[in-house]
Amino acid sequence: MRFRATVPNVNTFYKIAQTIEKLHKHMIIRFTESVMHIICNSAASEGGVQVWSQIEVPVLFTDYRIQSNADNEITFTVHSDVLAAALRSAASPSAPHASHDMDPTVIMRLAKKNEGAVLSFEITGVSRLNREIRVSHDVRIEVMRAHDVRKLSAPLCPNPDVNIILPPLTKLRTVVERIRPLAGEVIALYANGSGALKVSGRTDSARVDVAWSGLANPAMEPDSNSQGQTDDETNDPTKMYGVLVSLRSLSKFLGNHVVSTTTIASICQNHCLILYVYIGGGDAGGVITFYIPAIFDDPI
Amino acid sequence: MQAVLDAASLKHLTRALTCLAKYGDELTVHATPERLTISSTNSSQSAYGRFRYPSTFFSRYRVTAEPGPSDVEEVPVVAGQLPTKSLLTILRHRGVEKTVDKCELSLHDGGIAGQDDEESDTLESRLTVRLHCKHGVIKTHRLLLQAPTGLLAPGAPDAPHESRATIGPRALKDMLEHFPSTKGAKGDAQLVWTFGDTDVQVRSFETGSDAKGVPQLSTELTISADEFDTYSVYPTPFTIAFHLREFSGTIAFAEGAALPLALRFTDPAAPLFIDLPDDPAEVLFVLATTRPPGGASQIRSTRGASAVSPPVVQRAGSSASSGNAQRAGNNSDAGPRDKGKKRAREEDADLYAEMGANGTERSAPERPRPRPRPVVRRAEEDAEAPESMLPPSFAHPLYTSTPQPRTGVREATKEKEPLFLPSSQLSQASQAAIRESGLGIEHMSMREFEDMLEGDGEDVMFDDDAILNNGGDFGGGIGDGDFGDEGGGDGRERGESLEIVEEEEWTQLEPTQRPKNTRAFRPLFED
Repeated sequence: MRFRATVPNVNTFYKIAQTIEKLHKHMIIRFTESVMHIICNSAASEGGVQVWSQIEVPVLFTDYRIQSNADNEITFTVHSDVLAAALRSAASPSAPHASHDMDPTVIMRLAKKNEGAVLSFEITGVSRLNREIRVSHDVRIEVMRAHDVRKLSAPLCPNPDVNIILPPLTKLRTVVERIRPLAGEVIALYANGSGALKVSGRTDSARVDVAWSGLANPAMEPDSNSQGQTDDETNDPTKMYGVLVSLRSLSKFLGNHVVSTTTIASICQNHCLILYVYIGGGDAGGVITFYIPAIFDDPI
Repeated sequence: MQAVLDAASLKHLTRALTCLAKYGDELTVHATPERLTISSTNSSQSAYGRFRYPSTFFSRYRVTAEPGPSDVEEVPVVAGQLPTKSLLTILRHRGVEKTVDKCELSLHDGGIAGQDDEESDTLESRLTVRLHCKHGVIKTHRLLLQAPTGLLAPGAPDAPHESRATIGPRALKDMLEHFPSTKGAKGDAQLVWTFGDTDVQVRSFETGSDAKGVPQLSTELTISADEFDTYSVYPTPFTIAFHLREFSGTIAFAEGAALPLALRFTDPAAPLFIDLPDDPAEVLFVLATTRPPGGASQIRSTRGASAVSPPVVQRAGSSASSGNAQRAGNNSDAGPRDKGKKRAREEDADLYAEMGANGTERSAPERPRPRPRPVVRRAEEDAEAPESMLPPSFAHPLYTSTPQPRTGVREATKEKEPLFLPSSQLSQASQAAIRESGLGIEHMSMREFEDMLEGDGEDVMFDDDAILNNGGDFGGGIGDGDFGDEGGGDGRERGESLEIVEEEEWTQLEPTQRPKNTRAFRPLFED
């Protein structure tokens, strides 16, 4: 199997890796001919955040070549912090920066080293003194067997009941942190089709609600997980749909506030919360999808 | 010793202490009339850092000490040791930088008679730090000093074939940013530097969070030799490896001082010496070099100097600790045995469990080392194999995979003592049990053993004399709690080395080597 790609925009890739690093120790990356999937499903059991992400290859990579026996797909696991460290050095300010005749290029390759597979990053650039400098990182990866790959499947979700663009994650994070002492294990998110969002925590002795209004409700394109029916016309736009999620998972997810520009939340009542986090901006952007399953604590 | 520092020199001292805090936990202070030296060695003795301040560095500097009765000519010396952190917290306190006008340091060596009475306790050594701050505020801190352990600095070779490379701290820091930081207990990254003709390559191997110890990330950086201000390395290509942790402390200091670092090294086994030529204090760091993974980690014979510390450092030495020096001198004459301290440490390391109580290790036979230069050899006396200093948690898988060096262990230790009992008659388990029982009977032949058990010995008595006589023969394992129960008060009165055996125990004895019963043996013979 062979794989090689040039990464012109290391920053975005780095931000993505940083995001995952905060949530999961390992991540599964699947490269296909046109899409890069990032999957973290290790916390599925206890209501943790799962990441099922698809990023179009041209967004992050150029000169992308892949070849393998499994339909030209390669799937492997890697330690999140290690990948983030390698990318950090490529994206850091002290990294080789562009000189007038050469761009810092980051080439990512699948290689074999010491009887193990590694993802090798080669960064060439120019140092402070305009001398050529080369940094290379070898990140150990473990290629997954086809059998295991087949077992990976995104959680099934019905059509989302409502989609809403969340307020800036920084603010949302502050609110959730404040609610945390007053809430139990779960926190509830409600949203409706008129731009209202409510976050509430409840225990026997206390109840806290924080509400936003005036948010945008985007019309979502039908994606692979939902059947393509748009609900807006048929449902009452002021009806609140809610889901209960684990407070811990939500807090962890909100740790991403540094990297995201826009986040869209899709609520499937009593089923799950799907969050689409857009990273970077414009053409160089990507989106990471987070699934937070609902906790069936008490009816909403 | 009394010294006064102004704000700028205090800042320098604080930065020096911050750097030394990365090296070791204990700071050694040594004051002579000409200079004040502060130094620190790391716990595995693989890194050493020293700052030597000439008396001109201070606004006022005075050392007085009563010379000992035996030395007439001796230069007065005041020395002591204290935890680096305690001094550092005082000087790094919030607001110190802004409000302190001057700082007064006083060292009182309590061991010397005739000190200022109001300041010193005749038996205690003390360092007093008095910060004169704005608005007339004076903060006085008194720190207890311990007696210095006598560790002196490793010697610096001034080899003609020494390689030297100077580099500014900024460039070095940029380079090292690419390497994963060593935060956390995930392991101390090691840097392998390869100096070529025009290029310098730095590699690192790191074990990430993988519990299996498989290195998760390895990084390689290649820069042109032009990054270095001066570069004279021969022979090229030249490879040297050392740990990153202390090195980054040094770099941080150099960056704060904005001074270039001069690296000096002779051969891959010799320590790396780093000094800052332009600094007002004579700064020296000596870092132990290690063998990069892929080669066997060498075990240096620990030369246990009987409490001799490394010889006084010469100005040029780097702070490589003994590890380097030791390595170089590995194959050469067996110097004095290593200090118990190092021995103990080595015993701790899993890798060296087999080294035995003596801690004398033979050098890895497979790599003959050139005979070290005298100065370095002296340093080796205290040097310890840097690998041996790696705490077990740092053990790189490749290190653990090369046990060959240890096969050279000559001295049999207790664990390795061959059993003299013919092994054909005893199973492995029995042999182990015998050893464990602590009777010290491993050396007996089978015949003697049976004699002991069943032969017609004359001393089958329970009286005090016989027991006292024979009690000492057996290993210490005998006089334990078991007997307390059996003998009751009697047993205890007679002392620990006695075995008291009840009648029933005795009859239950069989000529097998079950540990419990063997302990119950009455000694019939004196061995």
